Amino acid sequence: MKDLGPANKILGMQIHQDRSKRKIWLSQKNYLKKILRRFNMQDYKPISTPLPINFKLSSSMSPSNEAERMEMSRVLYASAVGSLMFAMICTRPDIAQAVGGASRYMANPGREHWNTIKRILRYIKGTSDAALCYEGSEFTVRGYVDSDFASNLEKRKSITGYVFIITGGAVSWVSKLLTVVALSTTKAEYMVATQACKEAMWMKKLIEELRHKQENILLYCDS
Amino acid sequence: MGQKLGSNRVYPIRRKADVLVVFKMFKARVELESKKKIKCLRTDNGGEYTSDEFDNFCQHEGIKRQFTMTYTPQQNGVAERMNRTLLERTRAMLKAAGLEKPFWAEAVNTACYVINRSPSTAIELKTPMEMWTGKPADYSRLHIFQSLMYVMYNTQKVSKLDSKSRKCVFLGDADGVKGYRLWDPTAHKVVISRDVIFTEDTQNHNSFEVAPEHEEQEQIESETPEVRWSTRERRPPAWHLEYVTESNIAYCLLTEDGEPSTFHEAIKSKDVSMWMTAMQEEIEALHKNNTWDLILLPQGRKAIGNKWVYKIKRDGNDQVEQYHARLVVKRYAQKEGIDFNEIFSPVIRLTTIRVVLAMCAIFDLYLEQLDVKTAFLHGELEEEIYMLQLEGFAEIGKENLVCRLNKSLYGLKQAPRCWYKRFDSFIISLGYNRLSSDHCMYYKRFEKDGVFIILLLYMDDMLVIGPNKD
Repeated sequence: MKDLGPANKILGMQIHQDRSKRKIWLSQKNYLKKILRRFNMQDYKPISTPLPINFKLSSSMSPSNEAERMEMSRVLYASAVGSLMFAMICTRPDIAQAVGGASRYMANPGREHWNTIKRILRYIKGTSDAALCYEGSEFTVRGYVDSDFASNLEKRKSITGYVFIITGGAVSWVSKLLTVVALSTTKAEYMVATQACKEAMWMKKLIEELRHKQENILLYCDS
Repeated sequence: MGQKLGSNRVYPIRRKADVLVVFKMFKARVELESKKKIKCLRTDNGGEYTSDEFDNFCQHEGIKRQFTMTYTPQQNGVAERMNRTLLERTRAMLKAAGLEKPFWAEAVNTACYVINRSPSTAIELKTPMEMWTGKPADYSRLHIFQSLMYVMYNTQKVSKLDSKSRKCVFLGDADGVKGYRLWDPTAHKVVISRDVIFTEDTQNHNSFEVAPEHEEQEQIESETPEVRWSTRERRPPAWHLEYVTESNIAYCLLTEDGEPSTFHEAIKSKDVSMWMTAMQEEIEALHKNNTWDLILLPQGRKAIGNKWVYKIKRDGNDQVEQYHARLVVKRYAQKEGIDFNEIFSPVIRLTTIRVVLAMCAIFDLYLEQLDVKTAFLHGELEEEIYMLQLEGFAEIGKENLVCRLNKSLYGLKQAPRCWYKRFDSFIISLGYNRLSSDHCMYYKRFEKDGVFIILLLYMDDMLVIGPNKD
């Protein structure tokens, strides 16, 4: 066993600690640069949002004839989604929804879907230095939930998401398509609230097991 | 047919109406040879035997007729038994020779020829031939049905430079002449010849290839039982040849970074000495760890292969830091239930890491990183696994032995699980508690000063968090 001194790297994430300011940054700068190089996107113009406003992907954009399918077969769609997904899981809650949307068309991606991936990569290009930052003096956990009612165009299922924040930095996040069809916005909201509560209960247990007295976790949601 | 008396005779006929003609022939021949008369004829009630013509002939010759009862073939047991024997042999011969059905008559004749020369228990292990002629049977003309042979061309029919013989297949002994009945597959006819060379004893199949004059024969040849192998010349693929023999091409196949992908490439590469030291180091580490014992492979077990994986470690400026060789086991050869059972190994949740990092920031804790060198080699195996000896490093004089693994190796399916179990029991013996919310997280509190340590484990990476620096 070898002591490598103060931790600066785990699972491809860089850890930077500033003890005097009581701050820890968690970033994936090197990994993101690497995937931009891999998909030859390092010289693209950065963009400020991962998805256009009111833009929804659908399977009608999938190729319908053999020629289009052949053209798309040259595109490394699945590896691009995979690379982005790893970044999303590790340090990037901001691209969770965009990556989740693009990953639903892995089986038969079209040109429009690939453009979405490229847009996410351009967004990554502009924000590759972004990091999760944990700072503060109070250990409080807050959760936020929301759902987008029937936003999946084909199956009319709702896309839901939650994020838990501890002292300014996100620790747990999810963006997913509900498996059941919600009949009203309220139903969609409380379905995701249930999911978030389960996560909150796990987190409370974890924190208590570390002998830290945890007050109730606050969960914010709209209706 | 009478076995007590002697030989069996078979007369293949084209139509049932020919029976009477054949019977007359048979009668004349048999009566002459045995100097006895046919007195009684037992048949079934087939139309060919019950015809008026047949009946009249028998009455005229004074032969007594015996018919079986309807649907009672048992009453004609000797003939029926012989029919069956002949038919079964015929079918077997045709199948084994891969011949078409039109050859049945030849096969029946040869079968009968063999039966007449085979010992039989009914006549005290004498042969029917012996009973009939009083002389022992002659086996000199016996050959395998459908065996290949070379037949001389008639010298008057070929010119000097033509081939002297052609390939034929043996059908049987010719009746009436001292020769063999042969099938010429090229000409599609039966020939009778005595100038033949048999190849049934020689297993030299190459001799077939030196007869180029019979191209069309290939098809029939492949149906004969003798030719079990295709006559195609066997060659390794062209790329394979280049790969092994031409070392300069082997160089080209190295990966871009100069990392060989096999042992053979490594010992042919220009960094051979570096790779050898790297491999020696790895082997020494394995020996020191008592990773395996050399034993004889138990019966019924299979040893798993292994290979070397080479890696050049570079620092931040792309400068070569270290040549690294690692021995891995070919996990695809492992069989469930024999070489492995449980293979699940838990890993930490990323959320757990982030929660702990957040705590670390707020409470101003120290964050240290630990690295376990060759983590997987510490795991202890529950299963008995046998591995072949290392390529290029087999111990002299013990080449027939295999390695029985004591410790887990990289590449084994259960290596992560073994490592996790080993680490888990070790860290718990040190007084740490495993958290039930994440099994890769350990917590220890020292009662006297309230200091605590949190330990996060992700395979061989460890994060240690505590309020002061120890």
